[in-house]
Amino acid sequence: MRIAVVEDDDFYRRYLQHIIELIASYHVTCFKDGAEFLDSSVKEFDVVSLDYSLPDLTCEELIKQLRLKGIRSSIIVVSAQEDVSTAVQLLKNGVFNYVVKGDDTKEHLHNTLRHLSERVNLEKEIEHLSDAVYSKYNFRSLIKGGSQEIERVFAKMNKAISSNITVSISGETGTGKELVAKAIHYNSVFANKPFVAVNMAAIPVELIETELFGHEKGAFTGADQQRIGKFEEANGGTLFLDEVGELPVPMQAKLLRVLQEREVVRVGANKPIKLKLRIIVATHKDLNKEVEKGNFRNDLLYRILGLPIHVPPLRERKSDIYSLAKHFSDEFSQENEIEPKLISKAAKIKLMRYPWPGNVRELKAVIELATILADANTIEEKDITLNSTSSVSDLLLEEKTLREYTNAIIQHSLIKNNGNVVRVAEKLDVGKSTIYRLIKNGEVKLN
Amino acid sequence: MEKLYDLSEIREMSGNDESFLKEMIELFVTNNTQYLEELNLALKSSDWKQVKFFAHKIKPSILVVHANGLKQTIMDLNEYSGKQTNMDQIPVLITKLNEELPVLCAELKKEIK
Repeated sequence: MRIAVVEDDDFYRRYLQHIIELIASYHVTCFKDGAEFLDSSVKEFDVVSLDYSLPDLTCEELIKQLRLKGIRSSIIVVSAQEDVSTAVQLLKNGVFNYVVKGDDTKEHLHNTLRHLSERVNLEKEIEHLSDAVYSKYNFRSLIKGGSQEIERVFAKMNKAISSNITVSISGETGTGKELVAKAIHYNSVFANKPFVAVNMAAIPVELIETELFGHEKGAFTGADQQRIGKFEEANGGTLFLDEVGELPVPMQAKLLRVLQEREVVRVGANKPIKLKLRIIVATHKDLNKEVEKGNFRNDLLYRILGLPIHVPPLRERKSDIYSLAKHFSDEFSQENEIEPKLISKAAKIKLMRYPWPGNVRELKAVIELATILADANTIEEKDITLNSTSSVSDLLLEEKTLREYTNAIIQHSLIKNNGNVVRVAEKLDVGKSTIYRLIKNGEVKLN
Repeated sequence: MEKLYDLSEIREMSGNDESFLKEMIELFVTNNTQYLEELNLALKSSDWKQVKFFAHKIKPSILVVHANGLKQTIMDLNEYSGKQTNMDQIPVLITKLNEELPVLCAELKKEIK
């Protein structure tokens, strides 16, 4: 910790320097008056020990000048002045402690510096963590890929961070909607305030209202204490309503009111609480279709639509599959302190051909398993264990012609049966010659 | 005769570093000789603000060398001149300082010979 001692009395300045430097981690620089100190590189000091009665500037003036320069160093005033009101006033003005020059100055100063040291370390840790959070939620370090599709997502995210517009994120499960929401939050003006995520599908219907809006003590049986809701918790920051399409219709009216009025009333209370926050919603459902079906209110849809961001499914950004797979493998290797793995050509082809119904989340799980299963330093085709629970509806997510669907089914079956054409022909009840013809034409591949 | 001061704190915290002790005593003597002169001038001109200022300057070093015989004198002088109470006592206290502080300085100087 770097400490400036500003003291005009030579004897006491030397004395303070010596007692502070008794603690090895403290480095002291001495100044004989306020002007000499202000002319120095004041920003370098974590702590400033100030004499109350300097010849050129009063302590208050010096503190004021430091604050005007934007110096946030902690200040200790060391003085022979024992006037309590002076000390109280200085403490009110942000001085960390007031140490009287007396019999136990050394002990008081050491205690004060120890407390300050803990605080300075905590502040540095917070600063470090803030940088880490920023870096973690930096778009490109968070969302991997360089495809045009993902670049379009980044462009929309950039639009979102420069305002407080409501953002609606759509995309299939596993595409990373929550990551997009977090990245918007941590790169926006709301970054220093909370990011609160609520998954509507995970809350029992009867608890949604109190979960979102909070309740007063005694509002209902079992409400034995007051509870603040997610809206209040996120006030000043960002509220992320995930799976908003799952919200029951009666609750949609209440949510609409809160979004329109920008205020919330806890269950059992009368007084509204003003809200200033950004709302980000996400859903894997097509809300327009839900409106048509009567499952979602039209007016709420318009209210939450804001800036729509569609996160494309992995199969629509195939060029990102390999880079994502390599990233997840490297990340997993590093976390588990194992050698990083290469991905063989055959394994890569297998990854590229798969439709990834579970998207990035599924790819991550598959790659982590493959990294463990790989015997040598390369992930081989056999190490890639694809999910056999992919449903027909997943396949139908892809907009293909009947012929393309047929080929996809044959291809899938060939992969599953390790390229055994006879077994695939039997299982799918198609002629072997049909499969061989498709292979010959390049419409399906054996490896 | 009982010593007018106690340097054990300075000795202990410096690890019996004689050069540090010498430096501290020299600073003590130089500064306080000058402060005492200024204090007398301030008394002559009845400038109580300056009396307070120099009493305030002398006080911390008296405490560091544990010159207990002068401790109460300098504390009272500091308080009376600051609050401007017991004004009749101020010249008495300064006279005592004039008598005892030079003796204290002379005794301290012997430590570093």
